[in-house]
Amino acid sequence: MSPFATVLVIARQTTVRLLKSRVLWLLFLGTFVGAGLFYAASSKFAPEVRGDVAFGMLTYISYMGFVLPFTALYFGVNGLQGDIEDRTSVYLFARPLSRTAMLLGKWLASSVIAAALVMFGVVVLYVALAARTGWRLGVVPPASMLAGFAHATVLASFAYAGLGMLFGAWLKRPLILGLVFLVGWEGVVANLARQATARSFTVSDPLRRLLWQAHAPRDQYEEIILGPLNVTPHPDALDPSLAMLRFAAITVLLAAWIYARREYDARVAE
Amino acid sequence: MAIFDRGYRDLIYQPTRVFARIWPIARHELAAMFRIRFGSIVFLACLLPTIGQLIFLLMRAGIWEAAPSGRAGGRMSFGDRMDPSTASFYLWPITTMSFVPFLVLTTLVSVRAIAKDRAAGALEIYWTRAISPWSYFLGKWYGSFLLLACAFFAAPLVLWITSVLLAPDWSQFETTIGFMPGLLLGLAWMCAMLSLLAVGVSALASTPNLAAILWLFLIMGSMFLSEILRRLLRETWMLAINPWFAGKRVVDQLAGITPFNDYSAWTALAWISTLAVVVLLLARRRLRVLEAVAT
Amino acid sequence: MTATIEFKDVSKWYGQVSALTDVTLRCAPGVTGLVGRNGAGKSTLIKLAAGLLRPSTGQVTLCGKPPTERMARAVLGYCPDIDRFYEEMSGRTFVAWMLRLDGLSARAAKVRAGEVLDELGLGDAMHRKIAGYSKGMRQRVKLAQALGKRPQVLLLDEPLTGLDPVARHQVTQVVKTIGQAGVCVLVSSHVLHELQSFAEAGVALIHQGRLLAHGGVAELRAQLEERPHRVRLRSARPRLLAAQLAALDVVASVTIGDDDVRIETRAVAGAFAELTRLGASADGLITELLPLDDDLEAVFGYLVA
Repeated sequence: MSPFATVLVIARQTTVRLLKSRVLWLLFLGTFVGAGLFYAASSKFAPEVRGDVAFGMLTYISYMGFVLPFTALYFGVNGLQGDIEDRTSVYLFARPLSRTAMLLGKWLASSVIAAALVMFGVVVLYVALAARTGWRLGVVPPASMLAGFAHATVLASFAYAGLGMLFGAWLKRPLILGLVFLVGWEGVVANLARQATARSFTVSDPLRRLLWQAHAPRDQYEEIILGPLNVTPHPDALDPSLAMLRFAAITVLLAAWIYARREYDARVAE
Repeated sequence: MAIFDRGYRDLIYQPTRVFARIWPIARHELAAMFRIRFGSIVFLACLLPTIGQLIFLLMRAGIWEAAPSGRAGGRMSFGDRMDPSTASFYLWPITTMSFVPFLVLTTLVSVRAIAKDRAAGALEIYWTRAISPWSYFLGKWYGSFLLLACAFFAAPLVLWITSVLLAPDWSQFETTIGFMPGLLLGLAWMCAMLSLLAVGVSALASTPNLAAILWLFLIMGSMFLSEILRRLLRETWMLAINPWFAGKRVVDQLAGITPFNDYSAWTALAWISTLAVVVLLLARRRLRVLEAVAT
Repeated sequence: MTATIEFKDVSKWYGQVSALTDVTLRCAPGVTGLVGRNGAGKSTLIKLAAGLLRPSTGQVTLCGKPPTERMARAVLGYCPDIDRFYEEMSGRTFVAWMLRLDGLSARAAKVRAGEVLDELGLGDAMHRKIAGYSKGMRQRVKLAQALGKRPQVLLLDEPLTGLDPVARHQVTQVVKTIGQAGVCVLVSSHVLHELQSFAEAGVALIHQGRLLAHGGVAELRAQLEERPHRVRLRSARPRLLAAQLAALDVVASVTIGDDDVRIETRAVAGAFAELTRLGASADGLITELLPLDDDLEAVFGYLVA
């Protein structure tokens, strides 16, 4: 089987398995619960907050800041490490398949499913909030914001899933270290001086910059995007789309390099 | 030839107390952290903020004021964090600085406690022993509680004892004894509740990774949700949705501290208790013998 | 391309622990049995052949190519010793999926999966989820995914584990047929008497990571000169028989039982000739002749114990 065919076949199988995953269905249900909750809560805050600000803030904090990174990372880690941990990877490794192609297939499926799930949630939230009346200044959430979120979601999903793949291929406890990356590293680096090079080693910074460019946020949405230290994006920073693509490429390439060479045998000394 | 013909002597049945039966499980969970190098590093990270305070205390001991400030409660300010006669000095390293290490520690150990046994098929072996599913759960919870308590209860206790011993007279003790029992009780309660939630989530999941992600969604997801609702609805009590914040509020109340985001501690207590009851009810279903075997 | 598996001075270490040391072994077409105690290195050897592990030193080839090459893995069928699957799949779906990864089209994979599962006795259960299978059924699914693509090299790690006697017989017949068709099969097992029945290309004995012996059971036994052959002879007149046997030069020792006589001999060919003559000449003196240590189990015991 050619590497390209391998990528597609593995991607398809990973997608089928992900669609049967409990986490996915929990999140899917959570989407409706969350949208309902926010719709109910919006009756109280709508007169004080503009619709675009509320939608931007809610989506940024809940989906971009939490659901997307954790979901994409988990799918990435589980896609690779799940097979290794339960030893079903031996069936794949004994096949005439390129390990790199297998990894790419898993990464593709994990990214796409994570992005689809998050965008579904964003759309449901948008529908719930757009249906609300009585927004301050009569500003309802505009549909154009969805395009910005979709763009950011797709790219960030590829980046976070790539990170999940790298951790899954390389580390014994990828989920823990992924957590440290998301909560610890990104939490700290996002609040450094805006020209700090360390920002390029995150996904949250280019994600934030991309939304800043796409949405021109205001009020509380702007506050959230800039962070507690009110750090505006650096004008000379790499284009956020390219930054996320670069992050994804580096993590996936590293992951593929490790995955192709490592012996995933329980007795091999790490 | 029967096995008895080989000199095999059957054991005489000796009734054993419940604690004696669950202690091996608890001990196993407590030691789980330290069996791996990474676990020891995470545990050290949990202690770092308190160690920082201890270092500060030792440095300060040389220029100790004769009369301590005497402030036991009141609104927490930056100055209080450096004053050993205030509750903030002992609480700040835990409730403000230790969230990430706590999250990593619970994800690494507590939340995997039952899920890894289920994934390995070990629950079947437990259920054929003289231990009920609830005793097993209690053992896991107890071990997890001890682990959290080592980091988040014992550390402030040692810090306080050190501050008392380093003081030139008993005034430090007299000032702090007013709030320390409440503070320590609050921390113990917080460790108990959070470990209960973590082990409860572990009982729900079929694999350790699934348990970890459910836990992360519970803790981090509720944190984000509470923050959003607090900002939009301008209702501070929304912070209680997150178990860590809820626990923190109760601890602050018992220690006599008025937090920056003030709301009723009863709300926090009610919310976290409700969450614990829900998790326990779900875990009860998952710990039935048939559930363990048929997974 | 001749179907062979070759190990040349292969060693494998796991950190400080040596799993295999200087193993040189060539498996020709046919079934080669791999025997050894637990932890001897059998699974490590098989995993090296499957390309799952790389040797610390030495070289492993499958049909002349390193097993890490895709061309080598294209002709390889591997049945691991693990008991793990994609549990949510049915047996047929799992095997078809594996065959799909081997390069068969979706339709061909599905058809072939059905055929091979039927052959292995899972025809009725192939549509059920693997999660509901018994141990024996799971074992047969593993075999099916290895045999499905008609490999030229077949690695079977404990294939008889969990199988009932009927299934074991079925599987051994299938493996035997495959070996006779020219496929190079390396199979490890603890069921020595069954392994002996279908390991027609010989056995390889591994002990503490070293290759102790390789060859047919009879030739290995013949080389164990320090271990005289033991034979049991049933007789209605054991004392008379014993007296006659004691007079033979080829008989090293004689032990009399209630209804039998056990002898030890270092010259097995000569001894059997004499026993045949004795049995033919004396009417009904020898009613049964049974070699006691000419099988794989005895050879294994002598070499490893």
